[in-house]
Amino acid sequence: MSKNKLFVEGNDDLIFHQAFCKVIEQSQIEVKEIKVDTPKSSGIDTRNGWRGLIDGLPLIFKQLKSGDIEKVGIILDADFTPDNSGGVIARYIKVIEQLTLYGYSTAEEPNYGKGDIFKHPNGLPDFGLWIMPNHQDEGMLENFIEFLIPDTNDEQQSLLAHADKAIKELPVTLFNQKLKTPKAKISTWRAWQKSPGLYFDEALKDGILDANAQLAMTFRAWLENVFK
Amino acid sequence: MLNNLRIKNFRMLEDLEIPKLGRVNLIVGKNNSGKSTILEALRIYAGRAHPYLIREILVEHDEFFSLDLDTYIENRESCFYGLKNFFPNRQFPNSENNKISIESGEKSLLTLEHIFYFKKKEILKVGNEEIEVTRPVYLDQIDLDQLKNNDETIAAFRITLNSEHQGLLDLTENTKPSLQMFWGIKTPDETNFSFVSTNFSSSERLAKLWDQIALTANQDKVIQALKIIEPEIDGLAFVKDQNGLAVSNSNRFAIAKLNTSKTPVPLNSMGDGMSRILQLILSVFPAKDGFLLIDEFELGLHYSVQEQVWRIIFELAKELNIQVFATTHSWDCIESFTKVAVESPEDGVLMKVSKSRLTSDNGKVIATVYNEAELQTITASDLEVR
Repeated sequence: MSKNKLFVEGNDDLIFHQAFCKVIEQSQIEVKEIKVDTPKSSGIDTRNGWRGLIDGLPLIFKQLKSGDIEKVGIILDADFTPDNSGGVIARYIKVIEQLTLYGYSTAEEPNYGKGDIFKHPNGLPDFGLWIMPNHQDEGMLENFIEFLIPDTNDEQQSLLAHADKAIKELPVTLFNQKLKTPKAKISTWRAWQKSPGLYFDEALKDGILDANAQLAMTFRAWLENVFK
Repeated sequence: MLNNLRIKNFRMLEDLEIPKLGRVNLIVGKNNSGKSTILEALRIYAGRAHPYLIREILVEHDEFFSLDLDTYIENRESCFYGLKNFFPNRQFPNSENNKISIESGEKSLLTLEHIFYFKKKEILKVGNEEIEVTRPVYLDQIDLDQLKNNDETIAAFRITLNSEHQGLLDLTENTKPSLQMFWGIKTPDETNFSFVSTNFSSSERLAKLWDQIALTANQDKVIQALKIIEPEIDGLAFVKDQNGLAVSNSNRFAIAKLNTSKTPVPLNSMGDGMSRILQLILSVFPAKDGFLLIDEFELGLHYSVQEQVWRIIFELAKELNIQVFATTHSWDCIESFTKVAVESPEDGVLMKVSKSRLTSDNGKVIATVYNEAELQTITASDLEVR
């Protein structure tokens, strides 16, 4: 059982990051098997989402101290201000409050655009934090995914543009427009693929998502530093 | 029942704090992590550090005989010099502060110290009679430096139970405790306990335990437990080998009545699981109002039956007011334990024993306790147990 743990908010995140970690494990000999978990699947909390993840931190710290977790990173969605403690800074503060409590050295502001790796002066392993989409802007996994669809792929770009248009022209909008539009857009885009409802891992494998896109490379550098 | 536990300076446990204990406690960890050492500390406490028990423990570890050649001990084979193995680094400590101690809630349960004393004769007047008594006079380190070569100075192991009763085991002489024995006295704070070791008990030992419950309601509970593996079992008896062909013909052995067979069947022929369940369940009853200590719970038990065995242990522990401590390094065992613990709120506690990763702890062994909410969700595979 791998003691390298990457905690993410939910099942879509799980599917994407499992596939993304495989790409890294295959190309980076220093990075060993990374186990991607959600709060539910790992048992740190009974609820998924950012609350489950943050409430599960004390258990993660326990297992870092006992040696049951050796390397750890967590990935949260920034979501949007001012709703539900959304926004990069609000989420960042929630995490570092806990980190400080357990003795990690933290800074007042995130390491914008690059991802954070916190050090522990008393021997606990480094602790990685990435806030989706790019550790800088508001948003979520789906925004990150959009960055990985190449600009040069006219076919896919036209589908994205059409998804935007369709959402605008909906006869009635049932989802929270401010919070959930990126999710609606990417879900719609997934529905129109060769295999309707295409999963993120397949999209990555088929090259529809580019693991070498600029944002993907920045994210990858953070991930490698956490787990190497 | 102990609600928490602290063990200091005992073997590899430098200062182990267990902040929360339940009625049934499962201690997990890798080999040599210290989990059996916790059981051993509890065993010494519950057994009032009786010299026979201490000797038994030392013998189990092959620690009874001294391997040092340059010590001042003359009679190596009949002394308690092997007690040095109880202390960190297997050495008697130089400082008085390094005593072995077992505490719970700020209260001292047991301390074990390496001390020096000499015997002083005094005349005691009882009524008209004068009696000569021998008292120990303890020496502190300062006196000791002056008295080092005094022949009368005796190295000893001082045992203090519940801050009240004291006993001495001389390290230089033979096994007879010469002074201040409390072991012979029945005291109200005496604790029952059973220890289920990793060795299968001898059939005669099991027979004696059976004798204590034969034809009582508890007998039915034993049969119920055996039914987990063999539903056809309907009765149990311990008999002597009539033909004298058994390896040790003075011993009784267990036979079972099966609904499917006209003649009784030897229990030992029905697999390790049957023998282990019998050993486990028969050990429960003598632990009433005390402690049941189980080393490697899963031994001989297929994972499919462990859950049912746990359920019986949880029920009996409650019914007979027993606090259970078990060790394991099996994921199946943790999984079956958590399943049952979740059904029985507040009773089950899971703890992992490992070395702390904090630099300031310097490799100290710590216990990580998983609370009830965490138990509901933690997956056994998240805990490194091998």
